[in-house]
Amino acid sequence: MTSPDPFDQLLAGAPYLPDEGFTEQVMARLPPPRRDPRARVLGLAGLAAAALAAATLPEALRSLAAALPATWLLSPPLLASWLCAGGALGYATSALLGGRAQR
Amino acid sequence: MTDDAELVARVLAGDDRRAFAELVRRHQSMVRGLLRRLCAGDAARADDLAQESFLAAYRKLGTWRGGARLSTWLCAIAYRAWASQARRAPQPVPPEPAPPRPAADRAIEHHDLLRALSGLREEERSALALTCGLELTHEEAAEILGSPVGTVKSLVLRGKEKLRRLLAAEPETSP
Repeated sequence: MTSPDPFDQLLAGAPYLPDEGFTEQVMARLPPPRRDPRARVLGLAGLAAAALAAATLPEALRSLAAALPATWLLSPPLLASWLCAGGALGYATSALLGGRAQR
Repeated sequence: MTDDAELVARVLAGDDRRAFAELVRRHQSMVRGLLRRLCAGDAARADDLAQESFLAAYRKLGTWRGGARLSTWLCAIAYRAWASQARRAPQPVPPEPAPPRPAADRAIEHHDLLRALSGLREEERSALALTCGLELTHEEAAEILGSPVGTVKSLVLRGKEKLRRLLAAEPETSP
């Protein structure tokens, strides 16, 4: 069995280079962290949903008042459903835009 | 230990800086070592290029396909950074050769190798650094260098022979 050529060993054996602050230097040169666009979109969608609710709720209340008892109209489930619909709309929009941003 | 693909996924999903720092820590020695060989021992220039390479890798991380090893992909970026700079800037004057000593009675050291690499043509140096230094296959090196596999093999053979002569302080007989 022949011993390995020391020249080949030298060529193959690159010594390990200690980091010595190299990683920190690279990290310091990265662009500033990007913000998660979902948080901003979620906030905007929430505001839009609230504005929409404020604009349409009186009309909806008037139209429903003719058909339904007043006690039911003012019940928490109806108000909660508006909030849920607004939140769902906001979340769906942000997820859609967030997914696109990542691609 | 978290594998490279998972760290890359974390960077892409949420700009996870810790994950990217871990990738840099993990591969810095290999990338800097490659560039030091390509720069024939010029450590400062090699480290500048290594930083540029990691910044480019960060910007292009989404283009990495999990099929290739991340280390190979990083080497390709580092090689392109070096080649691009070598095209723009003139080659530095090779350092003065060390006083000749009979090869048999001395141990060849790594810094001797780095000095001797400056006596090779760029193509030979690149082929040797990728195949012998990083132990990439000839096919992987050929892909990075953009050359046919046969060309890479002959560059490696020629580069090795030339290096042997340089390290033994024998006079060059062929270009």
